[in-house]
Amino acid sequence: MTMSRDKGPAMIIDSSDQVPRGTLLKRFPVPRNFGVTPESRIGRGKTWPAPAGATRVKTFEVYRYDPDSGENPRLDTFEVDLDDCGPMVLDALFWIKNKVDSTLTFRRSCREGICGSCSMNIDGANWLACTRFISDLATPATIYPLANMEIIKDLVPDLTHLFAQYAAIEPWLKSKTPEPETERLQSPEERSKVDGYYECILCFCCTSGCPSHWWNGDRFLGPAVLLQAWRWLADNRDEGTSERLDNLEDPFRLYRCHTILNCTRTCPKGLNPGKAIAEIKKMVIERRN
Amino acid sequence: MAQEYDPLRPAPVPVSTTPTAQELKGAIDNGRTGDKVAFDDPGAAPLGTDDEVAGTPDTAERVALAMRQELKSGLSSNSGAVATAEDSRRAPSAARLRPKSPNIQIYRPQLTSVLSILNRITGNILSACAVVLVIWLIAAATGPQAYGLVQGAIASWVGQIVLFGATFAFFLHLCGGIRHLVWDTVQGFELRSIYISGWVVVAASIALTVAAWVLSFLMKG
Repeated sequence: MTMSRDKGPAMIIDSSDQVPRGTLLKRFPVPRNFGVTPESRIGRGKTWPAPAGATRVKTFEVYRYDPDSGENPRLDTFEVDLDDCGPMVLDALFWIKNKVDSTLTFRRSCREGICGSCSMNIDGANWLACTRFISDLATPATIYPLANMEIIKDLVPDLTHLFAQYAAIEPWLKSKTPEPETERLQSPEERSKVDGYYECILCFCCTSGCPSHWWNGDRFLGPAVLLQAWRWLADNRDEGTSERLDNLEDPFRLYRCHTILNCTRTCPKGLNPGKAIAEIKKMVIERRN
Repeated sequence: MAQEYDPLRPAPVPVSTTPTAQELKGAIDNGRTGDKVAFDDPGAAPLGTDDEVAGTPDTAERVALAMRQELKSGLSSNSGAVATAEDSRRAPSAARLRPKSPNIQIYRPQLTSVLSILNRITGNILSACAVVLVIWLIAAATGPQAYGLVQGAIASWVGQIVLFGATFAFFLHLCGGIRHLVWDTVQGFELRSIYISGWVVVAASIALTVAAWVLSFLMKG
């Protein structure tokens, strides 16, 4: 995946790491608190100015929610001293936590884009905070948690339901034939069929960016889970193919996908959930013949 | 398959009088003690491992005592009931519901989502146009007076603007539909192809709309 850092608005996106830029609108033309439940309304928050003597300053608007305070979520404004801070959005969040407001809460682990912990909505698009450059952001940069998730605190969403959907597709090798004496052998061609699907880090950027999952998330499995479902369908060692397809062939679990393709656009690992889902739909139809 | 496994609602298991540490962990995991959302927690070390390693494994009485205490503070009113989805939206100690993060209110419109919703919107516009088409046909069948009325409405400047918009909606939906048909063959899913085909749909719709109107004006003359 090439790290293309062009500064101008791009008409043709070659890889998902190209920062969304140059769109006519930064958000859909709906009111800020359109259709949100009363406990989700976002209020105005505090502003934390930059330290004295800072020359390169960037403004971040960060979603905050404190479950112990009894208040609604709010949007805090932080001015970050870029000369004192690393290049990535995660570095900025750590700078804020260490130097300004230690109650800022977010998930993080590997700081290199492989664990999937720091997935959040940065400047309107879901991505990993540790692989997004601060210099690619708008001013002010907006940081929200993953879209349409229940929020435990600040930028930490409750991923229980998403992982339950993942468990529901039974992501393990199913075998009916007896276990072989040695490994289950696979040719390089057969192994290449799972390339582009096994690399998913379950960050759920795609699922929380899918409008169909926003409206039907209780029953629609979503791109991340369906990508993993395809990973097991594509693996020739797995013998539960017809069971899996029976489970998936459902108007809600699979067919709420309308090929919106926000998922492919936003995947921080450059994977293609939209294509995986199309492959599943094709396999469902081919099975009938 | 005996019973469909639903991770959010695992089947409640009756509590034995001599529970093991594993049973206690199971009761905590499926939400009966009221500590957490009902979901299987893999847990690196099973409950009771540390005590065993220390050489002081829990006696059966101690585990039974712990089980009694845990269940007392749990959902004792509905015996064996697991936490509901509503319960899961509350943090264990809080009474208020957790907020939901904004979705369409803050998510950036991209070519992918914009063209998709436009396909749906133009589809609905075309459904309305079908109704108008039927009205026009009925007016034509009724007679010259009714037909003149409907034609006059369409020929007015408001009617012409609406007709232009409807033509554009028609071609946008048509080209978008062809794009969808191509996707059904699992072709054109690379990000570059998605964006190129998207802009082609927009350009072709504009071009076809202009061409259709230019052609109609030429034919009129």
